[in-house]
Amino acid sequence: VVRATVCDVSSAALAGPPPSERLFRHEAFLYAGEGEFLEGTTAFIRDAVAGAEPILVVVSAHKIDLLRQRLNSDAGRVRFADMDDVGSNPARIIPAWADFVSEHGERPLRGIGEPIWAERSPAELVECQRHEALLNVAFAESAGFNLMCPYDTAALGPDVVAEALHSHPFVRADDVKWTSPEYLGIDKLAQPFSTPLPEPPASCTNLLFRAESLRGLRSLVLREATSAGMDDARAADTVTAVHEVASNSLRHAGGWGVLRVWRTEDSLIYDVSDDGHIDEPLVGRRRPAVRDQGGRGLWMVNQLCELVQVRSTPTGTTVRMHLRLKPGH
Amino acid sequence: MTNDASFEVIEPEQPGVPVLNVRGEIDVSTSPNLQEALAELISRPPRLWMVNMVDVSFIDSTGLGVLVGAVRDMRAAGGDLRLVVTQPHILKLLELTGLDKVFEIVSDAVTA
Repeated sequence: VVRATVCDVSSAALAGPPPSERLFRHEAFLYAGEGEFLEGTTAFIRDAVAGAEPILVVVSAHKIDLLRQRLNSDAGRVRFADMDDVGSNPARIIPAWADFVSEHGERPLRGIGEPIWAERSPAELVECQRHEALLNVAFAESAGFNLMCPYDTAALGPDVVAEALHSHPFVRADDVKWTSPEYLGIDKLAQPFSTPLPEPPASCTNLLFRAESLRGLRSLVLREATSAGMDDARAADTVTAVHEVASNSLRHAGGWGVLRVWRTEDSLIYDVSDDGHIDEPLVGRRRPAVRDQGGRGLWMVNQLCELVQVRSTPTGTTVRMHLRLKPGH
Repeated sequence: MTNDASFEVIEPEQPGVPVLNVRGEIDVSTSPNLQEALAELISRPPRLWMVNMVDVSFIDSTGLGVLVGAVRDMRAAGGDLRLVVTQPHILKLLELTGLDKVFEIVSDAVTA
């Protein structure tokens, strides 16, 4: 069963020219420590300013401060956004870049985005890596968009850096630039994400639901949310998010699903599984056009949850929603 | 299955804006009823309608999709729909989906 067909990645994009000829330049910048970060990003920003290219820099608030000091008057030519606001849920980052790109049409553009830092939880890290992979799909046809993704090799594990070489066709370190031989290519990166999720704990709450049990499902979601200490507003958001995912199971999969709920140290987890298949890699990451009648469900879910993990294999789909019990970091 | 949503058309006694009162939960199962109620308004001579949602406890993306389709058809016919919404969680959904820019949203059906 196929769900969500809002994909507008053309077959031309999937079978397009080799990475070196692509118009979207997605580059990993490997640096060690703050000094190298500032050297590399400042040079990249000054090039943008010199060429009158619009630039958006999405990094931590601390790094924004450092860059502003370093850039002096040029800082006024740069748009900054705090990655903590934009990308606490990494699925919200592509829409932010898409807004920036569509604002400027076809002209050359630059971005710096650092979604991965050492303090990300393991679940967040894997979703950030998925995000990095999907950037290649989302902007395959964005002419002249030059996006640099800094990776701090002094703070991140070698496995994280190795993964960056899989998801970035271009790499730079110090003043050396090269094309990544490890880059997996857009066809592979656009495949449904099937990396297994950790098993739910045996003690989790289970509910098998069908169309007639959606109201019951919403009551259960609300009960779990309030007993975990969520206030009314947060509990209402949670009910909406889980309901949207469950209704997708009813509409696009086999008409049933299983909801599992459990608590971790800092979050309430709602996990919905069904026998459907998601073949649209960017589902929930495209801002719905206001006049569309559909396409809002997973978008809303991504805006309401701190983290959403979508996994799909030929035999089934799981959407795992993380709702932090103490919002904010 | 019990119907968890109800719809009621209120014509003003004096010249004024007519109201569609919507109550209950608008989800996958009740959205078709909302769609029918709105289609009935669209079939009438075009005018401005208030869709009063202050007694809606829940609305999902299906329900929002129905509202978007209805306002498009109503405007094409020469009329319009205005939403009355006071619940913070529904206002938030309208904002997250950008629908707060499509609809005029007011907080009171009477003074609107």
